[in-house]
Amino acid sequence: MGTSRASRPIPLALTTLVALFSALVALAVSGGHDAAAHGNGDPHADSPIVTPRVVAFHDEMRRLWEDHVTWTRLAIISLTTDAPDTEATVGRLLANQTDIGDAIEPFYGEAAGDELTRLLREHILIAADLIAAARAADEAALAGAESRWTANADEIAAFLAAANPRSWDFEEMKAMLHEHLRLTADEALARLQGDWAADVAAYDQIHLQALGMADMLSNGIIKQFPARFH
Amino acid sequence: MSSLELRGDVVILACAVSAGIHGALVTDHFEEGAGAGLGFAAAAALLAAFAVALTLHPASVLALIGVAAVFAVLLAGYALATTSGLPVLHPHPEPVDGLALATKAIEAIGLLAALHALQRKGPLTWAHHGLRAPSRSR
Repeated sequence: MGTSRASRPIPLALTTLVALFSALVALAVSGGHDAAAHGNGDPHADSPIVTPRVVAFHDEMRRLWEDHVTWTRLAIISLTTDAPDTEATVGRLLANQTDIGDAIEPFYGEAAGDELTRLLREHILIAADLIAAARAADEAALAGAESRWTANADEIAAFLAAANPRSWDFEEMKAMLHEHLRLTADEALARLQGDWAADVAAYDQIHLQALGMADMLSNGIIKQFPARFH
Repeated sequence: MSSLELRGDVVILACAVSAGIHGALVTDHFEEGAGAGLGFAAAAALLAAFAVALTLHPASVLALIGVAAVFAVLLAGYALATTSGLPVLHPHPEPVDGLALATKAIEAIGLLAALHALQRKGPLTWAHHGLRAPSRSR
C-alpha cells in the first residue's frame, strides 16, 4: 500500500561502504597518518606532511630560535664589553624565552609553557653568571656555573622527553642541548679572548644548530598533534 | 518511502559517515594523547554500533535516543574543543578545520533527523512493521 518497506531501511553492506568511503576521504583530507614516516627509503621519512599550517608553525619555531641565538650573541657582546645596552639586550633575550614557552602552550598547556619559559630563563641567567665568572677569572664560580648550566640543560631535556616521548628521546635531547651549551660557550670564550674569527665561526655554527633544534621541536609537535595542522 | 523512513535512513547514513571519519582519525589522535585517541575510538565504535542497530531495528527508540545523545555530545564536544578546550580529552583549544566542520554538519543533520524521528516514534514504529498508524480522529 506504499506505507512501509518490508525490508530493512538501508542494506548493512551499503552502510559499511559509506563508512569506509568516509574514512578514506578523511585520510585523504588529513594527509594520511604517518604516510611520510612509512615511505620506503625516503630520506625525509620523518618529515611531516606539508600544509600551510605546518609551514607557518615550522617557520615560527625557526624565527624563535634564530631570535634565541641572535639575542644571545648580542647579550654576550654587551655583557663582555659592559655596553650601556646590556639591560635592554638581556631583557629582550629573556622575552624570547617567554615567546618559546608560549609557542608550546597551545599543545602542552599553560603550566608546561610556563615551565619551559622558567627553564630557558634559567639557561640564560646561568650563562650570564658564566660570562661574569670568566671575566673575573673566578675558577670556582666558573665551575659552579658550568655545573648548574649542564644540570639545567638536562632538566630541559627531561621536560621535552616527558612532553613528547615518541619524538624527543631523552638522550638525544640531552646531547642536542649539551651541543648548544658547548657552542654558546665557544662563542663567549672567543669573544672574551678577542679571537674574532673564532667568534664569527662559533656564531655560524650555533645558528645552524639552533635551526636544527627548531626543526626537531616543530616536527615533533606536528607529528604529535597532526590533527591541528590539517 | 515516507518522510519518516527517509529520516531514519539519514540517521543511519550520518552515523556511518561520522563513524568512518572518527575511525580514520583515531591513530592521529592517539599521537596527541590517550584521552583524545580513546575519545575518537569510542565515538567511532558507538556510531558504528548505532548504525548497525538502526539498520537491524529501525524503530528502536533506544537506538534513536542513543544516537541523538552521541551526536549531541560530539557537537558540544567540538564546540568546546575549538573554544575553551575539553577537560582531560582535549585540554587546549584547536583551530577549526574544514573536515571537522563538514563532519559536524553531517552530525547536526543526523541529530535533527533522529530527534524528528523520535517525535514521530509511534507512526515510524507502525510503518516499519508494515502497518498504517491508527488515525487520531477515531
